[in-house]
Amino acid sequence: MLYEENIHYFRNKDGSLLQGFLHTPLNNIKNIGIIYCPPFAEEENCSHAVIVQAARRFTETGYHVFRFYYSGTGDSEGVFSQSTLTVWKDDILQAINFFKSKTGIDKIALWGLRLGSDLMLCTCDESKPEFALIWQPILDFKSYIHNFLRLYFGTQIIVDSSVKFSSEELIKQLKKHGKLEIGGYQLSEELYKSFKEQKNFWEIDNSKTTFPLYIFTISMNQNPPFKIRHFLSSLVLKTSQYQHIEDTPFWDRYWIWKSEKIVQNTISWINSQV
Amino acid sequence: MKMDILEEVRQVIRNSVAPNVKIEELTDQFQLTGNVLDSMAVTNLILALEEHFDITFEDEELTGEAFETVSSLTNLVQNKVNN
Repeated sequence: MLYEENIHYFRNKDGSLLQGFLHTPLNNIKNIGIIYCPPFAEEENCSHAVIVQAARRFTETGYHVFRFYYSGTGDSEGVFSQSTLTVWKDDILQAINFFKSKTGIDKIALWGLRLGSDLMLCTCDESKPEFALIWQPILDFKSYIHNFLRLYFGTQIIVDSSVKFSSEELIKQLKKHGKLEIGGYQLSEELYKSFKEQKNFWEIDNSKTTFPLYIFTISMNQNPPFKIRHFLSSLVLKTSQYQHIEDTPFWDRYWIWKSEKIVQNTISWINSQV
Repeated sequence: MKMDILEEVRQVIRNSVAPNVKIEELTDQFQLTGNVLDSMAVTNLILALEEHFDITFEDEELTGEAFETVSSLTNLVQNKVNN
């Protein structure tokens, strides 16, 4: 085996314990650690196998990789319905601090999938990464949270054969009761609001970005989404690279356990940067 | 036209929610609910159809009947594409 894996616990801003996993290379050790920022709700579960495999592959090439669960998710302490995107952005910074103190490695890179890729970009002024790996960012947060509410539709269609509560009615229920169970997750009004207020991917100010970005999207279509092309046209950074592949998304279906192209292409890009 | 849409709907179903079902098994009357669809799969299928056909479903269009069979789902898509 070319690496070790250990569970660690560290504290978030409020003192709750967050769970993390440190993948430590045993050979060819590089002086940069990669911090992984996970996606939202079921996307975390669906993507877990691919992410662990990717983390191990990155570690085999000499990088420390640190994965963790946000407050109120996985085996981290906290209540899901009391979390907001601001709390999770702070968690990313705490994870970076823990990683640096644990390993003594000062240089870090950020790697995020879906929600994680957007949140980590918001921390860059403080986290100052050497590079960032952005896998399938959320392009439009209002659409994203609307589609999350649609999980409720799915349940209604399967159980009741019809949609009895429209999106508008669901939002009224959310405001009235303060939370709503969607697909097994207690969505609070605060968390919902934080999604609605989150800047979209292409609206995040990248003019001060000084580190290379690698943006990767996957879809069943040959062409990338229009919005990502629009974002890239406004991206000033010449060291950034965008790649789209036609493949099965692994973050929203349970049966995809491998996604070799994204892992291999990411390793090739990292090696070309360092 | 209807035939083309049927073929595309079958492909979208297979790619998004039914990877273990052979495409030839996805006949007009293939039962989706109670077979390959659970609540998360319904949501994924809605999103996949919207992305593939560049359409947006209204809440009131999403009924149990529409998701019952391949044929009923094709009719839902056909109506959106025609509008």
